[in-house]
Amino acid sequence: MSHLEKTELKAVLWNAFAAAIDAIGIDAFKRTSFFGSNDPAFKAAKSAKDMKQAA
Amino acid sequence: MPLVQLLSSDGSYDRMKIGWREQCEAAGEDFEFWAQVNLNVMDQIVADRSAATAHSRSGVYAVQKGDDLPETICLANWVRGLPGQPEPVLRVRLVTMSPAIDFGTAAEAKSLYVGNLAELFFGIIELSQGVMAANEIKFHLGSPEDYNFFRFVTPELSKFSGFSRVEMKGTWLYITVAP
Repeated sequence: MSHLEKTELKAVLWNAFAAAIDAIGIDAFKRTSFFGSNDPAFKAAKSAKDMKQAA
Repeated sequence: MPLVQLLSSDGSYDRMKIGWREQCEAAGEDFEFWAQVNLNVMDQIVADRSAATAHSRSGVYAVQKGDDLPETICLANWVRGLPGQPEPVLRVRLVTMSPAIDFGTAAEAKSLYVGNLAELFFGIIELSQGVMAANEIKFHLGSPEDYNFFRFVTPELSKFSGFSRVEMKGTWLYITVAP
């Protein structure tokens, strides 16, 4: 890949991800699997901790 | 930010985990359960170098600035001989952003998300032209939310002249790099 193509690719990637986040919204993006806080085990442990604190 | 491989042999993988544990704890969160599924798989990949063969090899790769802690990691798997796929394929799974980004403040969030994903994808394309040579790249969509996000990414990526195909099929995003 030439230097020019690499520069073009970087621009396409930035635009693509920025546009997609704008389209679905930050809150929806935060529910993607890119975030370890969406791991089912983490959610379950956090929920249990919250319930214990509330009790 | 280049994409770098994290290894057990040079301590870089353990250094990432120690640093990410500290980031979790600084946010008042429990690292033991955070990204548990992803990190459990990566632990095994990093520990077992014997899994590399002439037909398949895997590694954990990170978006990392200099000696800073990794900001995003993923599992890359190069494989030859998949059914119906005569050419080698580079598969990318378990993309995981750092706890600092996960639990960070919203002020700079969007640019961090965009920057990390752009650097990761760029690094993967470079990887596919180098040590994990393959014109076919597949990104795993790990959840329905991922699928929704990449519905909007796909048409934009299709605009790049260096890709001959960008397509979502099932739980994968397929990218074919033009020869």
